[in-house]
Formats: sequence, structure tokens, C-alpha cells
Amino acid sequence: MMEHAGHDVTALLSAWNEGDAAALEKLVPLVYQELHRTAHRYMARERTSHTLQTTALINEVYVRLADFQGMSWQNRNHFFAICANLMRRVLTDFARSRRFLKRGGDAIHFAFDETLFGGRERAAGIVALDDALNALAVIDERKSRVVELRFFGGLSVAETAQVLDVSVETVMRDWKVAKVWLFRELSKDGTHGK
Amino acid sequence: MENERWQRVERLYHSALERRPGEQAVFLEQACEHDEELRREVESLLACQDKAADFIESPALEEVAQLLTKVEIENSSPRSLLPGTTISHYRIEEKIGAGGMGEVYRAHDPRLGRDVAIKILPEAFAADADRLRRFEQEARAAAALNHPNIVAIYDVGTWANAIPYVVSELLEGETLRGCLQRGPLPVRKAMEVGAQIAQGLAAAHDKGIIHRDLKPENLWLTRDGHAKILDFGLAKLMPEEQVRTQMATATETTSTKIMGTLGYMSPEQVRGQTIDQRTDIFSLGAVLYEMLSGRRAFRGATPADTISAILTRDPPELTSDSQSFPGVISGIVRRSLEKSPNDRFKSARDLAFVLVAASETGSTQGRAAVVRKAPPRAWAIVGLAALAIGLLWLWNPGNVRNRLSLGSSGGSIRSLAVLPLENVSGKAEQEYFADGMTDELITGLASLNDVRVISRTSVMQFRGTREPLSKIGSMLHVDAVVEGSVMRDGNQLRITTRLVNVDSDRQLWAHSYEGEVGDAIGLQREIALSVSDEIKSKISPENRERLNAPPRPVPTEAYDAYLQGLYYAAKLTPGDLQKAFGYFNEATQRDPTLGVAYAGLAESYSWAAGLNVMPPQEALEKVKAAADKALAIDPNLGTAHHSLAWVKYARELDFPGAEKEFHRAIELNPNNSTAQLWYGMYLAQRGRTDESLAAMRQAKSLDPFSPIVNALALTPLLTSRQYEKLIEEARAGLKSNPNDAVLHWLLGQAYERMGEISKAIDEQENQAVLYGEAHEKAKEEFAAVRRDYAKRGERAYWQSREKSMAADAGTDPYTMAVIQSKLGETDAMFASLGKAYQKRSTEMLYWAQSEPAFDRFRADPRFRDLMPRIGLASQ
Repeated sequence: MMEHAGHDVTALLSAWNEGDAAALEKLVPLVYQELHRTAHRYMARERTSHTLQTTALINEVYVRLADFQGMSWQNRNHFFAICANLMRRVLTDFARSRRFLKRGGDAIHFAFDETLFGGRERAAGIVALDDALNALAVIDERKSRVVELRFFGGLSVAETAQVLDVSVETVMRDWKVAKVWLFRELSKDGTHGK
Repeated sequence: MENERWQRVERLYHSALERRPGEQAVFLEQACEHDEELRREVESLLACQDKAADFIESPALEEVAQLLTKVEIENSSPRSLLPGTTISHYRIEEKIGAGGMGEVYRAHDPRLGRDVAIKILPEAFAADADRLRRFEQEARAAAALNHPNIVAIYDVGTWANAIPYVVSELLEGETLRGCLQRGPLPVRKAMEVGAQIAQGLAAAHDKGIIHRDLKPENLWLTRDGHAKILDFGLAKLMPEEQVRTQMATATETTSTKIMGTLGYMSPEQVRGQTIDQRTDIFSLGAVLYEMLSGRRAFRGATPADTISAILTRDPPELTSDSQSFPGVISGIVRRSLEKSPNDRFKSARDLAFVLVAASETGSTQGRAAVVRKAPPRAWAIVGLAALAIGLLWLWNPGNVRNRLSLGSSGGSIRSLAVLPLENVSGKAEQEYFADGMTDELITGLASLNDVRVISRTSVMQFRGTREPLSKIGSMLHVDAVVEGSVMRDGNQLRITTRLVNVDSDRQLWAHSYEGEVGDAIGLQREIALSVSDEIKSKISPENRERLNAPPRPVPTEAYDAYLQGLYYAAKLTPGDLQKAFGYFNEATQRDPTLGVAYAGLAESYSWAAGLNVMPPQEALEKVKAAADKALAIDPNLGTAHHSLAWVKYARELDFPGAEKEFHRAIELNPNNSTAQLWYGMYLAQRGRTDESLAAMRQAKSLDPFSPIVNALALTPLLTSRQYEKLIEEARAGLKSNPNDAVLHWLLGQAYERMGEISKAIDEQENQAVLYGEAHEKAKEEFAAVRRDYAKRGERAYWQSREKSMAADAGTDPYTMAVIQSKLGETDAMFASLGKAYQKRSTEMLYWAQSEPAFDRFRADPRFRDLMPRIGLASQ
């Protein structure tokens, strides 16, 4: 039943990490498929406890993507980092396609929603966040990665600290300031259009 | 932004966060020195601090996963779900129905191991987030209804952000539509089904939920004979364009489905006007009509005709092929189908009541037949026998079930209110009768020793109210209410009462009684005992014996007069008190052994004495005579005891005797707010402030909305000279009751005693007007007083008071004495006090001890001689 894409994915990930652009082409559909399958299964079940289920869902996706048993912890951290980045691509692409699907390819004129973001708005929000994150990376690479790992990768503060090899406190400070910075950027977009 | 600068921004941001919000600005000012741009940068980040709290805290994956799932659903988009599909955790088994509001499936809930019905709502619902939210809200409210005549909703949700669903109990049986296809229902069955639906509606209306789409398709008849209402509140959530299309199509086509819905809409609904719960009453009327006749009440050749029939025509006379209908039944249907909501039954509860009554008489002819003939002089209590069980089942089957299996939860009831019994005789002039019966019921229940029972004045404001019971319960701070109705036809009487726990809306007990009016005197005792048993009240053996005493028949005319007396006595205005005297006297003449009428007479004369409606001593003499007679007939009549207490106090100056009577009255009727109030007055005047405040608190808890109780309860503040507190509370009281003469009097007294003369004058003017003095005259009179005061000060004020008081022959000499003390006319003052003593001035008895004007004379030998003679201490 447990159909493991594990070994393929691990190999593709390390190939991609080593600069093999073609590996990404193969990776994305695999990850997408896995996400899709897992998510669907989760949504079909009862959804009483959101937090727990999200964590479980992410774990399950990761477990299915990679064979952790044969991995050293450095490699595992490495995997998370790559995976988070991949997730970001997949999710942003998906959100982008979703948005165009719904909006007929209109230019992006979404009202920024402070509660971030219901349905379609959320999709638009993810696209905008991706852009803002790129801008943040220009002035502060690490903070951008903290957000990528936590928001797109679904990692905890401790896991993020491990992946980046910094202290938990640093992650928390980075997370805090990155959040307000991004929030401010997105608010600007909301006010002025883009 | 160069890296170094960003690092500065970041450092400053974190440092600022460590400071208190108020200090951040100063800190930044200093830290940024003259770098305005830097400061603005940090400040703009700080400004986002709170708003960003939840921002991106939940991982993107979750939302995206939902989007993914939605895409999948949209792509496959099954119009019908296949067996084996799971929605949430429910496993679809088979489709059992479909309609405008979605498709219904039988499904299995593996977690609870039971079969359920699951309704999948049309996709249009999900397209609008706002509507989805309202749908869930409404469905949750309906789920909270928990009524045996409303289908139980177990769960509601939106599966994968795309499919809204409602999970409910799986019912065996058929819709009323299915049943009607075989022809009309027998009258009795139709009345029973109608009564159950009305009960279900009443429970929903109590919670503010209107059905809006009641029709045979939405009513379910279970195999064991219960009616259940389906789809509460969903109609409101129909997408607007869908409703519009439906209406538009309705005028053009003859689709039977649309006809079905149309034919049950109320005129106000068809017009698109604002609707309230009475729209459901109309729809139920149309359903009743159809159940009885087998024909639709409103049916035109085209939908436009149907609409026109709803708006303008009465349905054809109610007949069916096989039977004709008693006038009472067609009357009920007609009244439900009135074009104007105001002409319909005003609540589903009322409609339920008449349907229950009608269902018991089956198909007998004529209106009078609604009340079963009782043997003369026998109070037929239709409540203890099998018939009652039937009625209870009919009324609220679930509760009977609960009671039978789980026992009653009435033991936790420690406070009660009797809501005004509905007068369903259809005649306004019978109102005194329903009110009187309510009063009698309160009196009967007031003898329960460990249960607080709200007094008359505070419950009467809920007459005809549409407030839900839970709200009434919280306003009165009670656990349960007794409610019911009175139907009187000539000498025949039918009373239905039920006890409902206000929190759970659970009916704990219900009885129906019928008989002749004259036999009703024993009824309140019967009901009180029955309620007492139900709530496991520890009624004293003495009270139990009293309540158990065999009811003695009373001539109808005597009882009628007595109830009229109660009705007017409660109003407490001079004119109404005079009417009350007349009716009570009439009652005692028609039945010289009617103890309660003498007690009523005694109590109303006591009020007349206390409110100066007539010369107090004259009134007290009448109180004494009436109370003595009442107690000779029944020594345990509480109201006679507290009336007698005031006689002992104010007429006989027998304070210990008065106290004894008060205690006896309270012992007999622990819930009588008047007994507590008068005792509180007595204690206040005797300087026992703390005890008085305690009694007043009791009185207020028993009668929280009574103006007279709330006003007089401030007396201990006057006698203990807490004027500021008194003024504050009286002002607060005037906000809800601006025309309360007693409050204005108390304020006038307080201001006068404090030397705030111009405010005192204002209050005196208010009071004079409220006591009936012409506005213009009062204005003129008090303008003169004001001028005097303004020109020549306080002394001039008192002089002008003296002049106007002296001109009034009815002025109590005591009042003169107070004014004279202010003017320093000591000899005249003592002369007035002497006169007051001779005239047995109640004013002196009540107020002399606490009057500050006399403080400087209290050591005077003349004062020291006088005060003990009226039983008062001179100090």
C-alpha cells in the first residue's frame, strides 16, 4: 500500500542540489502528486484539530518523499532545506495557477487581507508573499530562509534552528522581524495595488 | 537598503520592543538622533507588530492542501455521490431523497456506530463565503433546538471547503406530502400533527429561529406517529438569485414543485416584506387546511393566480368529502390564515394550545364542546389519569420519555415564575379572569418554603411577550416558569399549565384541568402541590395540609367578583383601589365564607392607608375588620396576617404584636413580596436599618420589576439618613420609571433634609403633578415658591410651605410640626405634635424618629414626654 517514492526523490533532491536543473523538472510533479494524495486523504477525514493535523500532514508528505532511515542528520537537515524550497516553488506555482484559473489571468489586484487569507485571497497572498520573500532575501538572506522553512516547509522553530545551524533564539528573533517586515511589504501592496 | 543599515534597523526594532509602548517613541528619538528616515523605518515595522501576530503562523501547506482537494472535487464533480464515498467521516450508503435544498443520503457514522441522514447542499452555497458562514450559524442554532418535534441535527460542516452538509437523525416514516397523497387525515390526527408542529415551531421561535418554508415536503411523520419539522432556517440561506429565479419562474410556468412552495408562503413573504415568526403560523395554517380537507388552501391555475389567492382570497370553506368540521376547528384554521399577521394567533404556542384542546374533543360539534362537561361541583382534573399521559405525549413526547427513563430533573428548581396565563377565550373582557387565575397560582406557589416565587407585578409585564423563556428566566433570575392558558366559556373553564425549565427548555410537568368556574378556587392549591412534588420542594406539613384541604365550591359570581378585585387591587391607583374594595365586598356578600376575598379587602385597605388614598386610621379600621373576618374563616391566610401586622403597628401601637404577625405572614407565604416590603418599611421606620435592608432585598428578589417595591425599598436609606445613596438610587430608578411618584417624594424628602431646597422644590412639583394636580396650577404655585426662595432664602421657602400646608385642611399636623421646627417656632411645633398625637398621626409614627429637624428638640422634656407615648424612643 505504502507506495514509496522515497529513493527516487532522495536521489533527485541531491542531484538538484548539485546543480542538475533537469532533476527539478522531475521532482516537482512527484512532490505535487504526493502533496495532492496526502492532502486529499487528510481532508476526507475529520478535521477537528487543525494544528495537529497540519503537522501530521507535513510529516507524512516528507516521510513519503524521502527515505529518512538511510540519511545522516546533516543530510536530513539538508533535505528539509531543499524540500522547503521545493514546497515553496510548488505551492507558489500552484497558487499562481489557481489565481489565474479563478481570475482569468487578470493582473494582480487583490485586497490584502489581514487575517491571511481566505481561499482565493490566500492563493493570491502566497504568490505575493513569494515575491516579498525574494525582496527580503536581498537584504537578509537568513531571514528569508527562516520564513521559507517555517511557512513553506512547515518546520518548527527548533527544526529550523537545526537546519540553519543557529540558536533557537536567533530563529525566533529572525522570525519575528521577518514577519513584520513581510507584513508591511504586503500591506503596501494592498494599499497601492501592484 | 544596504546591509549595515538593515542591521541597525533590526537592532533598534528589538530594543524598542523591550521597552514599554509609551517609551518607544522617546527611545527612538534619542537612538536615531537626526536620522529621520531610520526612525520612520523602525516605527513602520513597530506599527505592524500587533497586526502581524497571526501572520503566516500556520504553514502554507494546510490551506494549499484544501485548495488542492477542492480542485480535485471540482474536476470530478459528481452530481450524485456514490455509495462508499466518505464525506468527512460519514460513509454514504444510498440516496434517499432530493429537492431544491440539496440531496439527502443515508449514511453511516462509524465513530458512533449509527446510521444518519446527510444532506449535501447545492454548490451555490459554497460559492459565497459569507453565505457559508451564515449557513453554519443557522444550522448550529437549529442544532441547539433539541425538540422532539424538530429533526435532530447532529453535525454541520463544509467538506473540503467545497461541500456544505448537514447531518441529522435518520427518520423512519414519510413526509407529510407522501401521507397526503393518500387523502386527508382524520380530524383528530390532523389536530395532533398540527399541535406537534406548532410545539416545534414555538421552541424554535423562542430561540429566534423562523422556518420560512414550512410545507408538507418539510414535515415528517415518523412510524410511531410523531411529527418532525425538517430544514429549519435553510430557506433564508437560499442564494438570492435562486429565489429570484424561482419567483420569476413561478409567474410564468406551472411547475408543481414551485407551486408547492408558493402555496404555503404568507402574504408578507410573497410581497417580499419583512417577516417574523407569524409567517410560519400562516404556513402551518395552510398545512392544517390541507391535512383536513385534502385540498391546498391556495391554488390557482397559474402561479400568479396562487399568489393572488394568498394575497387577496380566503380559502374555500373547510369541508372534505367525508366529513364536516366543528366550528372551533375551522376557526383555528381561519385565524392562522389571516392575511394580516396581527390578526393571526400571535404565537405558535397559542396555536399549539388550541390545537391540543381541539384534538381532545375530536370531531364533536360546536365551540362549547371544546370544554368537556364536568359533573356539577366537581373539579375534574384531567391530569392525573391516562388522558394526561396522552396529552403529555402529545405536548412534548421527548420530555415524557426523559422523565420515564431518567427521572425528573425538577429537583434543581429553586426559583419559579408564573407567567401570565394566556386568555384564549378570545374575549378581552375575560382578561381579569386569566390574570386573577395567574395571581391565584402565584399565591398557591408562594407557600412553598424553599422555592423563590416571583410576585405578580414583575411577571405581569411579560403578558403576551415573545421573549424566549431563557431570556425571561434570566431577567427574573428563575430556574423555571409555569405557563399556560385559560379558556373560559360561560361557566365552563379549561386551564392548561406546564412547568418548564428555562435553561434546557425542558417541560418538567404539564396538566390540564377543566370544570366549572366556581370550582376553580381549589385549583391553585392542586397545582401548587403538584408543582411542589415535581420540584421536590420541602413544603411544610402545615402548608401541605392547607393545600390538601378539600376544595370548597364557590358561587361563580362570588369567584368572579373576587378575581375582579384582585385585578384592580394590583394596580394600586386610588381609583382602582376603590374598584377593588367594591368587588371584594361584592364577593364577600355573595359568599360570606370566602376568606380570600376578606384577605384581599384587608390588603387593599392597607395599601390605601399606606399610600394615603384615604385617611389612614379610617382605612386601618377597615383593614382590622376584614383581616379578622378572613382569619376567622382561615387562620392561615398570609395576606390577612401582614395586613393585620400593619394594624397592630400603626393603629394599636403594638409593636411586638405587629412583629409577630409579620413573622407569621412570612412563615405562611415566604414568597409574598408585599409581606417582605411592609416588614421592611416597619423595620426602617423603627431604625432597624440592616434588618430592613435585608427584608427589602428579599422583596426585590421576589418582585424585581415592581415599581412600588423598588421605590419603597429605598426607605431605609431615608430613615438612616444616607441621602446621597438614596438620591443616586432614586435617580437610577427614575430612568426606567420617570413617573414614579414615590421616587419623586423620596427625592424631595432627601433634598429638603440636605438643604438642597431648589431641587426639593422641583421634586415637589413633579410629585404634585403625578398626584393629579393640574400642570399649569402646579407650575404657577411652585414658581411662586421658587421666587420666594430665590429672593429671601431658605426661611422664605419654609414660610411659603407653611402657608400652603396650613391652607389644606387635610394636612397632617405632623407635617406642620416639621415646617415649624425649621422656622424655629418651637411652641407652635409642640402644639402641632400634640395635635398629631391626638389624631393618631401615622406620619408621626412613621417618620418622627428619623427626622433630623427634631434632633435639637429630642432632649426637650416635652419631646421626651411625647415620644414614648407613641412607642418611640425620644433619642
